[in-house]
Amino acid sequence: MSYIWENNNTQRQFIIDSRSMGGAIEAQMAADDNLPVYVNPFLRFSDVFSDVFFSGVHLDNETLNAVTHYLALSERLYGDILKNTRVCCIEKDIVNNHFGETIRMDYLSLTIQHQKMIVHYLLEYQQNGERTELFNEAFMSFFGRLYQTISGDEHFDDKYTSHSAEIIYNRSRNAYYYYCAAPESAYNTTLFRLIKNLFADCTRLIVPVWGKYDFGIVGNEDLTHSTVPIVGQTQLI
Amino acid sequence: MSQNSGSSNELANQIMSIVDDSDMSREQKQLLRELFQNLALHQNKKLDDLFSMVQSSIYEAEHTSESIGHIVVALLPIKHNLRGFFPMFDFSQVSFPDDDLDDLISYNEFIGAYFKCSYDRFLEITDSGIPHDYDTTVELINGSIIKCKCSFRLNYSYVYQEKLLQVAASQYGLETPLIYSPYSRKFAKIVFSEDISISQIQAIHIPCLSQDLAATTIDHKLMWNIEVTNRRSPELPVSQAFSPEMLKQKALSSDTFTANEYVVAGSTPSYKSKYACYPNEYIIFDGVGTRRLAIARDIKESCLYIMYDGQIKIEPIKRIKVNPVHDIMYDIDVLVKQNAAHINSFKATTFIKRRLRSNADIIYSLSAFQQNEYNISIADEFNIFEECPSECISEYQNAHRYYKYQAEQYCYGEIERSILNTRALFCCLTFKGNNPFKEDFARYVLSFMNEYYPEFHWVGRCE
Repeated sequence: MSYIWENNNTQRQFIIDSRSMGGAIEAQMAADDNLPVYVNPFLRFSDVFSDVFFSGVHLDNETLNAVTHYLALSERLYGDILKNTRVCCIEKDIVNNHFGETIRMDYLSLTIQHQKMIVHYLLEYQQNGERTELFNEAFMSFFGRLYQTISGDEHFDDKYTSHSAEIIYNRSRNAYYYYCAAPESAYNTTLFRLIKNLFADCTRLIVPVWGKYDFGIVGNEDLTHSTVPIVGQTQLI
Repeated sequence: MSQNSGSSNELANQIMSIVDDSDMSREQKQLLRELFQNLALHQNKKLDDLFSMVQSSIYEAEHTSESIGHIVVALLPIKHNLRGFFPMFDFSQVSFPDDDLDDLISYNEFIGAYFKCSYDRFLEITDSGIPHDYDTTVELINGSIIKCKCSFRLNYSYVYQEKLLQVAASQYGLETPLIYSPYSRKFAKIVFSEDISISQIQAIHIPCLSQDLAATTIDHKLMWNIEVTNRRSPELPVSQAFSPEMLKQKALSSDTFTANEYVVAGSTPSYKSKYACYPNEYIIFDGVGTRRLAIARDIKESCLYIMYDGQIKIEPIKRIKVNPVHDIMYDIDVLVKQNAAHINSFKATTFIKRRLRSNADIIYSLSAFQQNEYNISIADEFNIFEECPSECISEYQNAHRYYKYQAEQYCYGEIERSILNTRALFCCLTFKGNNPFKEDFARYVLSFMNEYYPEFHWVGRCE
């Protein structure tokens, strides 16, 4: 329904359809403004409207448009509140020591911004059935720099742009090396330990490698400083 | 919630500083101060209520199954009466068929002993394969004293009775781990070397086991807060006139309606019934697996809907009622401190972990057991091994276990909570505390973990 709350286009035709519309079809909203928007409010508002609510009544397009926007906005509100409460529940669990003392102390020593990110990752982790790749995603988002550093983040060197974090698997040692170009400060170590404890498979050997290695392609600003040497666009150990 | 109170108080303070700086009279300022302080308090309370309401709805959404509540098993003197407590097993009434004919005949006439030693020591005394004879002094009612020898034989009466809860758990899809009663597992029958009339015995002294024995059935019995009603004649249903569609509607629209996970399966059940049943009661059905049985409960109307999709009609055999313990909590606390009572202490976490992968997952799922009455804690650090580590707590032997390995399920139709034998790694937990029943608590935790999280073989050590 995101199209509806993001676009208040009164010209576009809205059709309420309860029969053929599933959530997946609704999500693939046609971008063309001339095509009608099919909405099925019964999916989420079944306790308010019965199936026959709109069938006998023909509302004009503008009213229908307004009703649909109202429904979409209230659905968004519920969703936001529900998500926020879930986030609060997770936060409360961490603070009340349900995740253990180490995690609690590590979490509380982080900046507010990082705390928020951690809790959102935890919610995603919880909702997606504890999937493995989330650790790598969290690691890259905390330590990797895709375009430029977050301005004002004092824990990272502003010079590092891309390739400042890499994950490399060593088959002979069955170990995963997590290269972070960030300095091995107490804060960064804590952050890494926290995301490792929260998301990483505890049966894996995970080794963080800290510090700046001046490998890279000279003259190419993006690739000048990276943690591991680069040949072409491929990094090697 | 601290965030709410923080922001409300902050706002009240800001307003008050504006008021303080203004040129109002002192009375007016005082009035406004009180007004805004009260408003802030009111707002905090409202927001906290709202938060706990939403939190409980999240809890309900996560925990689809019912909770059986607290089960307390207590070893009490025979004349001690606790309201809502019933003997766990009535030895004067044989309600369980036993393979051992010898036991069956002599049910009325035996004296059982409750042990308080470790489980390994208990097995050494009772079931080591070598018959141990212990010097005994038996006091009779007429005052005479007989000196003889005695030995012990394992007795499973209590464990059989506990199986009722396992059946209820599988039929109702209960999530809580069921029971924690070391005494029912450390129970053995005393066999005397001489022919003594059991009814004449007043007391038994076994000097070399005085450290290991807790009590005997002469003056103690095991009680629990569960009332079991056996049904000799079939229990009559209230009605049979309802449709699965009606239940579906009810489940959608009512807050006080819980169903086990199979309620939507099977649109045309061959057998359906409605029973009058309070929320803390569980009607147990005979000879059915869980796959074809749908159970839904209307808490408000105190009734139970049963749908069964099978060839034969199913009959309710027993009704068990779990009496709430909070109104007699004081007594229970004292009994727990004396190690006479054991509670299935399990405080479900807000979210349920479907599988355990990271350190935090393991610690989080274990946190359900951390707030126990026995001051036993489970260490946050644990080790993972490829082979079974040495010096671990031994498992309960087959008949005493809470679960069975799947390879051990011989009988068709037998309902057991079972776990898979996988090539999983071993995760070794450490239990800390000074409770003499620490090992038994550890086994209770480990059996839950083994049952729900087969990612690892859960083993434990005591510190």
